[in-house]
Amino acid sequence: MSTTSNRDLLEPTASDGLDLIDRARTGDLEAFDELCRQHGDRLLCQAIALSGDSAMAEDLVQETFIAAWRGLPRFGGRCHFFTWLCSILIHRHRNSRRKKWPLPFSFLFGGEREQAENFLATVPDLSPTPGSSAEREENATRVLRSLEKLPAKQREVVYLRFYAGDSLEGIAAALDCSVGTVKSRLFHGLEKLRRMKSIAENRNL
Amino acid sequence: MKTCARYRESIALLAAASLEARETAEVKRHLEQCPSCRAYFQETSVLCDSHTTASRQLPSEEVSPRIYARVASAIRGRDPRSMPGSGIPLWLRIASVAAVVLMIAGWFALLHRPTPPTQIAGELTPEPERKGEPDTVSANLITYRLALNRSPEALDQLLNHEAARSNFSSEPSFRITMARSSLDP
Repeated sequence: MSTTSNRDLLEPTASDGLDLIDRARTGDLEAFDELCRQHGDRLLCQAIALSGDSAMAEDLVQETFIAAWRGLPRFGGRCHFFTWLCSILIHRHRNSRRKKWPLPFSFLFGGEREQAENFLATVPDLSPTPGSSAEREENATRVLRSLEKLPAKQREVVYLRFYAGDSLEGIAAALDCSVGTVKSRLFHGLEKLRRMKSIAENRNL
Repeated sequence: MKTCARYRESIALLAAASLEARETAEVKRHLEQCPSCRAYFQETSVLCDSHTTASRQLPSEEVSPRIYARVASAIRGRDPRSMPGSGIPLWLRIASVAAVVLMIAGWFALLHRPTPPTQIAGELTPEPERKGEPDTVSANLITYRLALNRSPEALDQLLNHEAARSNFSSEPSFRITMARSSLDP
C-alpha cells in the first residue's frame, strides 16, 4: 500500500519565493527573472518529456514564461508557482500540437483503442529497471507520453498530480475549477490508463 | 474486476495519495475485507507509482541563458501587451492615440482657418451714408483704398455692391465716380 506523499518527494528545494512573486507582480523584471531561473530547469525537463524535442521544448519554456508574466495578476498563490507554470506549459503544448495536427489522431487513423493498445504495449513495467540512466530517462519519457491518449482535461490533472506534484487543491487553483472536478478527472484519467494498460497486457499474453 | 461501486473512486484517489484523511480510514477498513477492491487498489497503485517514478527520472536539462535573455527582451518589449496585467488590447490603444492626434489636428485646423475671399466685399462695405457727417466721403475713400490694396477685383466687387445698393441713383454714382477718380494714380 503506497503511503508515500508524492508531493513531499517532488517538493522543490527552493521556496516558491512569495516575495519574488509579489515583486514581479509590481513589474519588477529582476524578480521575475529570478523566478524563471529558479524553475526553468525543472520546467524544461517537463517540456522535453512532453514534446520530445529540445528545440521545441525551449520554445515552449520561453512562451510559458512570457505567458506567466502577462498572467501574473491572476496567480492567486493558492497553488505552487511551479504547478501554475506547468498548467500553462501543458496548454501551450496542446496548442502547438493542435497547430501541427488539426485533426485528432483517432480521426485520421481510426481505432483509437487499437492505437492505445499498440502504444501502451511498449510502456515498460513499473518495477525499477536496471540499466543505464539513459534507458531510465527514455522509459520515463514514454510513461509520460502515455498520457497523450487521455482527453485533454483528464491529461492536465493527471500530469499536474504526478509531474508537478501538487495537491488536489493546488491543481484546482491552477486550473480554476473545483476540487470535486479535479477528483473526478483524476479518477477517470486513472481508470482509462488502467484499462488501456490492462488491454495491452492481455494482448501480450 | 468487479469492485464495490461506492468505493471505486475513493480507492483510486487513495492509490494516487489524494484521498482526504477523513475518508482514508473507512476505505482502508473496506480494503481489508474486500479482495476484489484490494486487487483494484493494487493495480491502480502500480500505475500511479510508475508515473511518480517517471516524474523523477525525466531527462535533466539546463535552460540556456539565451532563453532567459529572450524572455526578458520580449517582456521589456517591443510589445505593449507584455506588461503584467495589461488587459487592454493593442488595437484599442492605437485607436485611442489616433483619436487624440486627430482631435489635436482638427483644433489646430480650426484655429488657423483661412478667411474666405467672398467676405472681402462685405467687410469692406462702407457704412451707410449719414447726412451731416463730414467724414463720410473720406471713410468711403479709405474703404476703397483698402479694397484696392487687396486687389483690383476686390475694389470692383465693392463698387458693384454699392451700385446695386444705390439702384444706380445719381448721387451714389457720383460717389462711385469720385472714388474711382481719387484712387487713380
